[in-house]
Amino acid sequence: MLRQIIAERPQWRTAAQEYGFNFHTMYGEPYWQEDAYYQFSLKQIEDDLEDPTQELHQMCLAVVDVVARDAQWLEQFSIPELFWQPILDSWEASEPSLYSRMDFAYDGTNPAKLLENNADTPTSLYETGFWQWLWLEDNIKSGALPANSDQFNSLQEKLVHRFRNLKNTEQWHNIHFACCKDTAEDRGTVQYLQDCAEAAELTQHFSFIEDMGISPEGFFTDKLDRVISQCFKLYPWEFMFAEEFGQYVPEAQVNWLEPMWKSIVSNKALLPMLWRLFPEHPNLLPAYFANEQHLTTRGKWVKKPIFSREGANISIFNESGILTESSGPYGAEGFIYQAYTPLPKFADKHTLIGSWLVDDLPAGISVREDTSAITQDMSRFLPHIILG
Amino acid sequence: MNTHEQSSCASNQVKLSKRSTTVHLPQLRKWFAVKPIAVSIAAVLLTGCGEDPMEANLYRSVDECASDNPNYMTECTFAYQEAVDEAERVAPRFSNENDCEYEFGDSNCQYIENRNGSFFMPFMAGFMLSRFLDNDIDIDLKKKKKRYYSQPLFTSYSRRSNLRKQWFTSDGKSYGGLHKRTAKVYPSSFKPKPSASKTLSRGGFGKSVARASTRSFGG
Repeated sequence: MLRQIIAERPQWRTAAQEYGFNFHTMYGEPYWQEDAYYQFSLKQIEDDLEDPTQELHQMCLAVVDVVARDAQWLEQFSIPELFWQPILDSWEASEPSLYSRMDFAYDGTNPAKLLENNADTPTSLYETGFWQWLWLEDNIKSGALPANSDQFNSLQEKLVHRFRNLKNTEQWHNIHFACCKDTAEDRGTVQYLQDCAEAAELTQHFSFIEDMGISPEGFFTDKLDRVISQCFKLYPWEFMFAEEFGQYVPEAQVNWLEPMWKSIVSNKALLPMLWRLFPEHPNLLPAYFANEQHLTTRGKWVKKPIFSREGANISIFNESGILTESSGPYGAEGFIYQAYTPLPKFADKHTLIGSWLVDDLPAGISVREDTSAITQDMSRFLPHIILG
Repeated sequence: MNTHEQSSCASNQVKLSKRSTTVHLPQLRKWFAVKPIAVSIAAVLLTGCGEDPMEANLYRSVDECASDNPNYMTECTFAYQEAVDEAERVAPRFSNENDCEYEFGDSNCQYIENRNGSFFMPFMAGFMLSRFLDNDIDIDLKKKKKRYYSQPLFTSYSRRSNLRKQWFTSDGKSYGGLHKRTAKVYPSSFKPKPSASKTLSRGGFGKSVARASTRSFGG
């Protein structure tokens, strides 16, 4: 695993415009960065990332099977009681899922450690599935990278295949895609999924989350009053549980992506639960629930809110007190402890690996860098290759 | 695995790639972002008044437009608003609601009062959006910058109308059934002319956004 310097493609900004990749720069800061890339060996990819991803996913499903059947655990996961039965129903009906992204600390040598599982609303999908793919194709074409360079990235192919599968096997006739207003990044992510659904010839509509309505029969509707029967929502389950329309979810007969059982996997309480069911697993860090604080007296620990995204409200502490803290709006619903593991440093940047799954198949990785030890939403995305 | 070895002896073998092999690029290009604006100027100049038909999109709402062109919400909103304003100016006018509904169908008419008087007119059913330059002689710099043209579309739900469930412009020209999403149009069709289930409430999702106030709600 190496960080290599490379020249930017001269026309990439024009190409970004052409393909509608309009969040490569956000708030005046570059987000997509292609003056460097990460190089992995095939062995590193397959043995250290792909296989553990597949195994960890199966372990997560084992957690769901325990938690979904147990009121005590559901409470520990801060899931409102109204949704306990619907979650179990969605699990027992094997409601189909679409995708997940596991975040790993990985340095190329030691076992990758699972930091968290973004199993409900992962973003940076377009950058991973398409944009870094195009970067590699361009650089092979121009001779800047060897012709036998590859990339761990079958994300787009697998997404299209998954939508085709939902259409043919699950008999989905159409699907609504929804995200919040005023975020170019989320809209771009959803548009990419719409493009994938379109490629699978699955009829798709778009609605903003805020525009969704409720019909007299208790169905959700879009702005044109069409009933929503299948819905991809780039909106976390814990928000939906807590909001006014949440009460209609159990009766609305929607096939959601992600399905409701994913609310257990995307919950940070997953981490202590994994440690409890699979103690000492090489890809796990020790993790404990809030009421197990006595187990965290020695060493360096990270305190994470049960519901949080992009590194918000995280603090790092040891015996002598808090060492680092990030701000944010989360934390009211409780938190967990996870043993601290430093992100490896390459060229003075902290590097984080995102490992993607489509349904239950590993589908590629993304690499992000941050100047701070906690990866925030202003981290930068870099492409990668497999060589050797 | 040694990739070098593999590639040197694998000329007849299927390459096992870890990345997608079937990415269809044209599908991922975005309509508004088509770059050769200079080319369209040239095309218009070359063809002069001998018009070539161009593709226009037929949208029922801003959302449909934005859904097609996610990075151009502003343009869609603007194009829609332009069409709404234009509709009030160009729509067929009736002095009473019955006459309007006779042509356009029940509950498909609205009362308008503006500086040109008061009248009934059909609701705008959608708008047509196309992207090409004006070759009118009165082209000015401000217009040149505009990258698209929009105009209001109407439809009739009246059984008596031969334009029932058809898209049509204020001059009565039909562009096919309401299910149609695109139409072939000529630049001159944009020249200025003389507008399911039920939903009980909306907005029950999305409130946590203000609380979270981060850029993205993904992780």
